Amino acid sequence: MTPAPTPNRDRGFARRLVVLAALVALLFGGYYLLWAPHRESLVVYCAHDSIYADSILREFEQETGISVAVRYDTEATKSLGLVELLLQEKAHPRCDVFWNNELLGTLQLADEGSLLPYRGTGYERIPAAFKDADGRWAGFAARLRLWIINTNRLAPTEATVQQATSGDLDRMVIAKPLYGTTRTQYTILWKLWGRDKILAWEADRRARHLREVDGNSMVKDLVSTGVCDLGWTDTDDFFEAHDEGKPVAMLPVRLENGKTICIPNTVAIIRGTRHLAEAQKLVDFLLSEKCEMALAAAKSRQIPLGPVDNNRLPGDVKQLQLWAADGVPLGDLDVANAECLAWLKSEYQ
Amino acid sequence: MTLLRSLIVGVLAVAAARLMRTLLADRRRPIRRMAWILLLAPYFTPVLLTGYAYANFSLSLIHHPILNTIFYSALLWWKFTPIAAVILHFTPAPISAEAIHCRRLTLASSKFGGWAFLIRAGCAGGTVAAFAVVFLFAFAEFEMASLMVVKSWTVALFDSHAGGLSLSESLRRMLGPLLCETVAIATAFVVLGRHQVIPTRRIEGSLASRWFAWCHLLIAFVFVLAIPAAMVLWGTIRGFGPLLENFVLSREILASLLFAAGASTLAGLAAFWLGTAAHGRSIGSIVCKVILVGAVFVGLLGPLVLSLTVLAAVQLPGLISLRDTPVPLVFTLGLVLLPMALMLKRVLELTAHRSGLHLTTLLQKSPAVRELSWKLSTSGKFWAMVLLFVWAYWDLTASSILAPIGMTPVTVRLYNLMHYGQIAALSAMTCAAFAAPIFIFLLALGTRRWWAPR
Repeated sequence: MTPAPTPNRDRGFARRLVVLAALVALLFGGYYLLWAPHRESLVVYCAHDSIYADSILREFEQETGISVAVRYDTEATKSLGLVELLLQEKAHPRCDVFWNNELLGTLQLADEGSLLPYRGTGYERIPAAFKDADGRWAGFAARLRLWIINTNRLAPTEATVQQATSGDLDRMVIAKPLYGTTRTQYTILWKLWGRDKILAWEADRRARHLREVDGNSMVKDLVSTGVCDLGWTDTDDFFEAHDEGKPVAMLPVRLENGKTICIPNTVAIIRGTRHLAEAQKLVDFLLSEKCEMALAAAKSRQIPLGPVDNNRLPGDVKQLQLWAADGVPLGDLDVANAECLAWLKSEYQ
Repeated sequence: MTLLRSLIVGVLAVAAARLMRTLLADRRRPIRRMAWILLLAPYFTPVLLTGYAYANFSLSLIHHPILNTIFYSALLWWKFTPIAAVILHFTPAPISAEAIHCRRLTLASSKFGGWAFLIRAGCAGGTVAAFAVVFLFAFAEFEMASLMVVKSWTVALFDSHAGGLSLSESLRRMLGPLLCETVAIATAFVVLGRHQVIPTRRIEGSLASRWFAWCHLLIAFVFVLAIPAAMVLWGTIRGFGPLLENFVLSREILASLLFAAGASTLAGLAAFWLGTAAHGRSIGSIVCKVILVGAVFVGLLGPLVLSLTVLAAVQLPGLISLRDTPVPLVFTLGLVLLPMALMLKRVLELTAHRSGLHLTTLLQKSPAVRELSWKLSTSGKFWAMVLLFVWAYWDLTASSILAPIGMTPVTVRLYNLMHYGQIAALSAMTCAAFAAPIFIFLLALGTRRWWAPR
């Protein structure tokens, strides 16, 4: 009978795997030495879209020589995931700077005492309406909440939108309001209307078959392809469809008092940072005219909040600036934010 | 909903796989080879690719969620039927079809009595195990469901956890699904443990069943692999220029390659070292066996459950120093891969050319003998390691939960970008992510002689 040679050969193979394991360990070590964040790297939690934020942060690295390690949020849970993570890590923070793509999460962190005040050169150039008086956060490069309308289906006028949203909402789509800028919009409505009215409004819209998807980019896709007629999204998502030549038009979302919703990016230093000087440099960089101009010139067309050279602004952004001037004040949303978030969590989690 | 869908997918996959046994054991080699290629290709297609390709189509079905769910379920059926087919192929009924026919002729038992006899004799063992394992895979699927906007417990749990649900609450919500998974795993363990695992002999099938099997294989190949690959390639052609100008994924690809190398080596070591040491009846062998069975059971829970548990573990004071290292991710991926590694090892043992291998040990050592040894034995293990590597490379769930800051795997980055919709540059990035493990594989192929024992 032929002896079974397999076990010995398996051992021989396993011995080679040990060598391979040692090699892999060496490669991990090499990666750590070359690229992985070191203790001196500045850790940034970033809720802004990585396709736009990455180039800004790489430019900061090149300009200052400070190494940056970034953790991005998932598209489906924009900003909320990182805010919750920062709250969980409050006792042993890993993050040095939080770049949020909206305001509410930052307000929540400020309330929890997680942010360190800093009033640098960047802070000074941002108008008072878009920064914390105590210096715990500052806003920059804003977006507007918009109606995105498929022009093959509807005329882009206030009257048409009014008519299209008065009956069945089967062809209107929004992002889940638990996350991102849709949550900001709900929080503003919560503050304006109070709990009972918003709950009744939401129940009515659901009864009329309002469609909800994971994110604003999906809203943009559904409307631009004609699957839905209209929806709520942000300026950056709208311009993606617009630049691809899709049949879309925009109108600003206006509240009952005629105000628009202008939502800034916010930046803050996390209390307990081990790299204060580097964190301050990054905050000043993000709040600088150079950074705001770069984000205005990007495909996302973000609206500068501080003074900039208007002659260099793209035409689209000049139009957005006019609408943004009508923006509803966002600074006093703390209570509404906590209450609205608690309600939304009970609805969606 | 996920439970019902997975049960249906399990039943359909087993039914289709039973019809495929004829093709997979066909006496003509070209037919057999083609059937195996068409069978396995959809299974090895990364779910991220399939999900990405159909994301827009699924979104267009927002007014018809039932149609979307049916389409998603069909993809699961096509993708996981190979698992059922492989299990059925290696666990044929212990009684031949001829013997069963003779029993029917000689004993006038009722139809029910006949079925009961077959079940008692272990003829249903392979079918039950195949159903349990397919159910497990369909039940734990996450990536495609997420990209195709299909409701599933995995997506709901992942999003809630990413959205800030406390770890304890996430783990509490996992208990129900965990129970379902445990039942499926235990069933597969018990049934396969009793079953003698040998390749199927030839089975005669009707012309209709052969036609159905070929149609199923072709449709699965087209929908799970060919259409998604064509869409990505088309995007790559248009997005190659911008990608070359601004290639931003190099670090992520390198991180993924390292994680995959670490995890596949860990799983390979456990399977080929511990698995070999577990042969025998010494105390050491028994300890190895217990460790392996425990590890396999944990690995079969799937990446989501396991990752959340490991995440909870590295918050403990004694383990918190590991939190920002690659260890949790490599360890978790290694565990997830271990059942597959052991299955591949077993398949290699069953298909080994033992006499030929024994003869090579008697021959004088020379390069020709090493080449022969490579062909007869080591090449199978090498390919098994390649498969493990590819599986680990394309993991998304564990990577997104456990990757340390600054070492974002490419799948996590692509998954995030894929939520922005299909753009040419993203298709080109996906293609680049595909090319990286192929490049590594070609490099590794150059070292093949080193793998063959001297």
